[in-house]
Amino acid sequence: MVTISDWSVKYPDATLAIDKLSMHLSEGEHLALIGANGAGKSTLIMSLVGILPGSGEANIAGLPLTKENLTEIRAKAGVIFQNPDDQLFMPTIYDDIAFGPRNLGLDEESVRHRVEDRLNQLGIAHLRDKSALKLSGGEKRMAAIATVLAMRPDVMLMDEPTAFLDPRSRRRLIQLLRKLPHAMLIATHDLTFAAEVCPRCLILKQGRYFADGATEELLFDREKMDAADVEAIGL
Amino acid sequence: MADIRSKINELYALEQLAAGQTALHRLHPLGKLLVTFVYLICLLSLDSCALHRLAPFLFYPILCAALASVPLGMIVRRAVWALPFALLAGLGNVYFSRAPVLQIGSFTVSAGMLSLAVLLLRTLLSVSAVLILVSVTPFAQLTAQLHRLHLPEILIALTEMTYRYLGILTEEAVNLLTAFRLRSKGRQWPNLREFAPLAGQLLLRSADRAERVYNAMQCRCQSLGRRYVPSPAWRPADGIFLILGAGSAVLFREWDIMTAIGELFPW
Amino acid sequence: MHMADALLSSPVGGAMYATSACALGWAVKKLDKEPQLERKLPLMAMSGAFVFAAQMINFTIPGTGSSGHLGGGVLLASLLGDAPALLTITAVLIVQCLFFADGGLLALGANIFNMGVIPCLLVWPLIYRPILRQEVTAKRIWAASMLASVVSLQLGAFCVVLETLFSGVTELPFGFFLSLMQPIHLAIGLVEGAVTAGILTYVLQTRPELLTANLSTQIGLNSVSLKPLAVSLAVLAVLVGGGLSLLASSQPDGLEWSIQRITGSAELERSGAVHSQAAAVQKSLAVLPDYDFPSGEGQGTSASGLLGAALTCALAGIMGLAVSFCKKRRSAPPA
Repeated sequence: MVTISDWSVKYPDATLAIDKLSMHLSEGEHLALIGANGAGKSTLIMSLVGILPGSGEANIAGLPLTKENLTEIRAKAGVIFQNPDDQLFMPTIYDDIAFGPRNLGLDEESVRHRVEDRLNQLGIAHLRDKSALKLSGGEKRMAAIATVLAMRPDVMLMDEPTAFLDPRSRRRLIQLLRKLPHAMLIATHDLTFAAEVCPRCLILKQGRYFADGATEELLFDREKMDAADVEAIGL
Repeated sequence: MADIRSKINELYALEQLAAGQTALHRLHPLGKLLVTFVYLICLLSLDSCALHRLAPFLFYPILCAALASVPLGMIVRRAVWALPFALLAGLGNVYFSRAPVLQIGSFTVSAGMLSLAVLLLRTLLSVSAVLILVSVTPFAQLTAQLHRLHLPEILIALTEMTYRYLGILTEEAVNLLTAFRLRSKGRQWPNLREFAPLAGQLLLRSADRAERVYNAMQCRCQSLGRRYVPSPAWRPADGIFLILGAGSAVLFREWDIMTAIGELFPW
Repeated sequence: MHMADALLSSPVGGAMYATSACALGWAVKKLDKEPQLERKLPLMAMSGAFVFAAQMINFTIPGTGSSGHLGGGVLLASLLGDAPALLTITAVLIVQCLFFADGGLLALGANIFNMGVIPCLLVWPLIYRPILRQEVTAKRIWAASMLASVVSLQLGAFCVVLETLFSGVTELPFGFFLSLMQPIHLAIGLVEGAVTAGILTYVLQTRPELLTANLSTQIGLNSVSLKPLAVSLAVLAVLVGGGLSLLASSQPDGLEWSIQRITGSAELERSGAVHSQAAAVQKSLAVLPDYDFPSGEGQGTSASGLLGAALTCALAGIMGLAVSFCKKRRSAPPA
């Protein structure tokens, strides 16, 4: 679903945020992206949908990442932002979820179907006509996921999905993500969350590949985690 | 703080009305846009002293508001905001043109009073017409029509985004103000010296947020120069509305129907 | 500062629309060449929202009992550059006119000109940028912002006066109107200048590149052709001229007087009819309070007209109530 090789991303001030990274995410696979603050996790995600310009080779959902393919890639690769407030900007949740399908040029009837399917799937039908301002953190996260699912993506790229969640909402999110069939790349600091959702993980350090392997083993390996500036899961 | 929020809520209230499903809501947006324009032009090109000729122009806003279930009170309340400058310009007329035009009992109506009344009424009517247009047409449909009328895409996108960002700006402002109040010993508002840095901070913070929101929009296939324009079909009802709306406005503009009616009563 | 529809006649409104459309066309064309436009869009829109919000804060001007609000054109131009700023303020005005009843749909052109074209395309390149061209310091920012804001609002207010008078909706004499508007907008200009400078100095401390970017990439008026602007001004002159002649025949009131003031009587002498009317108006102005409403066709409201109007109002009201009533009955569940 996502294959990159020698992928680099430069900031406008010429600092190298991602340095020749290669990785592969297969269909239906859940891969955790682990790293300290500033390791380049968010940057990588933004570059995979062309919001930030990168260089090297990238193939997203079967399409090479080029300017011409951007619209199609963005329809197939849904991004969940760290702060759901950035993703909910329309007057009602309904409009937020409908925003993407409308941009795809669907007629209002199919848009309504898509929105209502997602609302029911995530159990948030009661939020339909509410404004994002009045939602709790957990509800906002679910709504943000609904906005992306309504695009019917093949792959989901998530940036800190457990941020702003209380333990109970976090639990619900874990259950949801384990059920979803999409391929997922999940950047997170929340290692126990990663261990529950993703069988495999990839560790970045200062924009470079550091390690990858089974979550069960890697995230409990104190020595290696210390070297990556990440705190291992305590036992 | 509540006052800032309520002002913004009032802004988006019209949009919520626009989501309605009455016959007027379902009309083609282009028809509504055209009728509004013709109405405005006819209304505003009337003679500046012909108070009685404004009367038939009341039909359009009153009927539309009733048909679309838009609370007329809300429209009028908003329209009143537009009055102060009209009042300034019109009061001058009261002073400068004192020629009597009408005697009602012992009270003499001067040309100036009449033109002041015309000016105020016209302001109310023209503003109401625009507000009604917005409250029966979703914003996205209006901008789509602007696109069809070949307005530059950048301007349309900018208009939509500015409108969208008002809510975001408000959120940021409320957050900033809360932070300010928490560390300013009970003072509610910043003084002049503190105001500019706070405003600057608000601007930059909101601009960062704006960029993230725009990224989120782009992630969901929004992009400049690629606009999906929904094109609702033009139905017979739209033609009838256009002919009735624009036709009546032109008729009322060209023919002094009021005097004709009044003359039917012989006294 | 926002002009309502009712304050403008259609010819003047149309002329201003044409003028502003030319300026906007120029701005759009210029931005077409900008490769990073889409990246700039969020900043433009948010700055627009910011100016919108700032304009909602009305402040009372001491001693006049009148209130004013910030224009924001200078702030936008200094953050975004001339063409983006003009488009942004246009977007703000469109939203205001649609949702806030602030300024009208027909008056949009005039408002874009008064609050957008003047600060962004005239004052910014001619006053603001030259002051900051050599170096960008807090002091220079203060000087540039104050001067640019005051000049922008003075010019804007002056145009409001002209547009209102040309439209013939007010009987206020030119000089009196001017003496009302200019001092008020001097006060607003000073406040606006201070606020703009305060915000810009904050931006200078935290994100100086935002301010210098526009100055460096757009240095030199030569890089951008001024021809379209000149053309638009010519169109303005022609259209306003045409609009005026139209008006002059139908509404010989305050308008003539202002033409008299502006152009001098010599020019008007060429057309006999207009001149005689102007002379009549001038005569009546000699005794100001007695200045009559010029008698002519169509201005009077006869008693029968009033009666008809009253009946129509009643009918309109009844019809409105009836429709609401029927709708309510229909939507109410059957008893």
